[in-house]
Amino acid sequence: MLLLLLLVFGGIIALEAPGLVRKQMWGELAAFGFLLALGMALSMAQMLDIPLPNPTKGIEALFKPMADAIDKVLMVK
Amino acid sequence: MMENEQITLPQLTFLWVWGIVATGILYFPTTISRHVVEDAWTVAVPFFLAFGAMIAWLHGVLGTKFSRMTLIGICETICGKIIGKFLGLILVLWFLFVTALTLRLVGEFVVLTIMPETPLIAIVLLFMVLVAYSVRHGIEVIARTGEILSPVSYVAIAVVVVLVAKEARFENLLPFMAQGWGPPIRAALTPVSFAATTLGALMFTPSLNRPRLLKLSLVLSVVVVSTAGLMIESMSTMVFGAARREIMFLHFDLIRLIKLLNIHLGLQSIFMTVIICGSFLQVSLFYHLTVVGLRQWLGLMYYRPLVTPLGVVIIALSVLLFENILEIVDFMDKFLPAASLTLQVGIPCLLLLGARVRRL
Amino acid sequence: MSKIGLWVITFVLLATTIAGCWSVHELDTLAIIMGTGLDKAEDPDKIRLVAQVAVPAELGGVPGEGGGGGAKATTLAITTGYTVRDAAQNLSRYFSRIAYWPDMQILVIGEEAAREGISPLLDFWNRQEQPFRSLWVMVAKGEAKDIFAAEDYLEKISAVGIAKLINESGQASLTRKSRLLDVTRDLASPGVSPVLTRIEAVDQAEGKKRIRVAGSAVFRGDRLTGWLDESATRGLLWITGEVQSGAIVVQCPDGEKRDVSLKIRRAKSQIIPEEKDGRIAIRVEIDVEGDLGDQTCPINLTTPEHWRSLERRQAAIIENESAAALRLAQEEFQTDIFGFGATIRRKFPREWEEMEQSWDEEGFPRLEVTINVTSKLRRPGLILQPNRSR
Repeated sequence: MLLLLLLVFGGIIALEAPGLVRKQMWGELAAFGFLLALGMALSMAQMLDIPLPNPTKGIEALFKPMADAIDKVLMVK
Repeated sequence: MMENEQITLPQLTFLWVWGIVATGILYFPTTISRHVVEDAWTVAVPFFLAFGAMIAWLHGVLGTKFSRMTLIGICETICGKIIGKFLGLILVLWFLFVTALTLRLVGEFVVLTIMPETPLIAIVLLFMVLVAYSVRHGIEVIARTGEILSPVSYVAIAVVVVLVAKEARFENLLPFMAQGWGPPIRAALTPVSFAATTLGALMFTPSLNRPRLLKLSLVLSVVVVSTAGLMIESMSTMVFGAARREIMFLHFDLIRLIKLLNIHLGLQSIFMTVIICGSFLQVSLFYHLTVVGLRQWLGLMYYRPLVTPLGVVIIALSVLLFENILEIVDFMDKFLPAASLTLQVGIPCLLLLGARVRRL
Repeated sequence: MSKIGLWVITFVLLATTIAGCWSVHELDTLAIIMGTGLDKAEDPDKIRLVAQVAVPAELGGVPGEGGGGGAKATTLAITTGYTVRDAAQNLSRYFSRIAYWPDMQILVIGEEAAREGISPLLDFWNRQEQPFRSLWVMVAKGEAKDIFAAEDYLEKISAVGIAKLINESGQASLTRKSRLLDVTRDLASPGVSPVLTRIEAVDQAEGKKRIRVAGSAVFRGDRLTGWLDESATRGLLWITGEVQSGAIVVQCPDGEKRDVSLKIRRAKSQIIPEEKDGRIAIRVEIDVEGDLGDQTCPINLTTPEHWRSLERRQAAIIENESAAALRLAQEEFQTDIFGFGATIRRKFPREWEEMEQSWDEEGFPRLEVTINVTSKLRRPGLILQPNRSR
């Protein structure tokens, strides 16, 4: 599975990167590289069962007071 | 901007109809049932209609005021470089989150209803390959797909309602407003928070052929969605009565009930196709917004190179974000409204205020 | 170059998706289940599941003809488990094929199992992705297993026969038609108790057992509390407006002990909750139209006096049947099978909140119910007088 994943990422790089280099779009290449690295890290971590911080939990914690306030204002239990 | 794209206003309207209703038609009834049963239809009209239209109007006002800029540009113009960048990043991340959320919603639905033995990741992956392919070809392609699919899909939703009308009992809609105003308004917040994604339309105001009618176009999409909502919500209450509280996907259960001449026809698959097509448009739309927003935020020329790597991030996120479907429904019911309204109503309000203060 | 790449990707994708997906099963790997019965097993914690499975090889041909004649077209599989799903999964111990549920027509619940509550037995069917909601659900007098041992007159697969029997039962209106959807809806709604079809296996000549669908099973909450016989069932259906067709037999107006049967054409009802001296009472308006079906007495019934007298007699029978059902529900079973509570809830939601707690125990048994029947006879059929009349 890990190999397959690497193969997919290799495919994406092979498909996109040469064109970017040829057209000398360095900014795009940097963004591409960063995002791909991020995606790779996330998916690798999931495949290897490495626990990751969950953004949903962050959003929930951040907006909990407001969510509670809405419930209070509208008087639903 | 190298990718010079043009979309028409009807296309924008159709896009946002699906941006709200595609997975919405599956999950909104579920979150709505948590608060109201008999009055579920009032959630669609008037509450969703009123709040959604107000928000869409607000976004339209902001968009027409700065019709030559995208949302990221507007943030930077009004708030200056640093705060503008910060707001822009938050909005881009938000749309990234919304894309991953909708992708997950589609995936969960497919697993739960048609392919229970297929792993979620396989469905999400295959779906995303198609979406990424269409996003790479630009918003014009997505918009035109929407134009073709929308009438068909809308009719299909209406047909479901007609075909199960035999099971409907009008008296299930009574008593009217026995619980007061609170619960229906509370229930309307989840659909409204999806309707508030019309903020994303400002990501491509420069591509609109007649940006002046942006307001009208966005409000119209909210109106169309509310009619679909009215049909589905009232019909599911009339058919299932108090049992609607117990049901996961009410629209799917309505589809399951369809019987013509006492035979179960293979109609299910047609309606499923409609839902999947709509979800395809929805995910494509949010995906595209995120990519374009990110391009703008980074100050790059092209967005195409960002499509594939961002797709990988979205797939990973969609699996990572929630443990199970109950968490998703809980999140959509409780926290999504707060987050969505803060970001997608609060920020545009601040922007308009800032524009007024700085006389832009 | 990239175009070729695209084609390759397209073909690979098509090749992997068109050929089939994870959840695909071929017909010859399936055991098609036509009907299921649920009983209590000997072990008190367990459920016994009886599945009637179609034997594909025996299904060809018309019954009675050669070909598929001799052997039985169905076979029974019996398993036990702690829940329905558990028992269903245990079927794999007996079958070399995968159990295939979507063609299932009927679900029979044994009497004893029904007395302990049907909600746990229905959960499985509502939860599945297959369309089970229009499944006929019924309660067996005795054990569900015996129902599947009986044979149908016409159908090779008795489950199919039973489904058709119930589907056509509106012709006599002597049983309550109950689909899974109806039962689910009633169980979820406050102020309604479900009533299900009653089915039994009766002895018939040559030591064979036959199916009889008649009467109905009364529930309180999700537990079976008793039975309504055929006339009480029709009483219930008069009040809920579910009578479709059938015959009412009345005495001939000439005073002799001869009968006249009236064919029911249309029946409607309206349940109206109203406030009466500070308390909520129910008024039921039943509206029935019928035709003269046949007569055994030799007089001419088409005179205005006789005709009106027949209408009155029809109304009296309907009133008696409804009142009998009402009395049974209020006094003996104390369970609101008519959904009076639900109609009160719709019209007086505030008052209902106070009544809901003790509805079945106090509110419903003491509820004042008036039944008004409007009965009309429209046509005498294609003869006016009996043959050889004076």
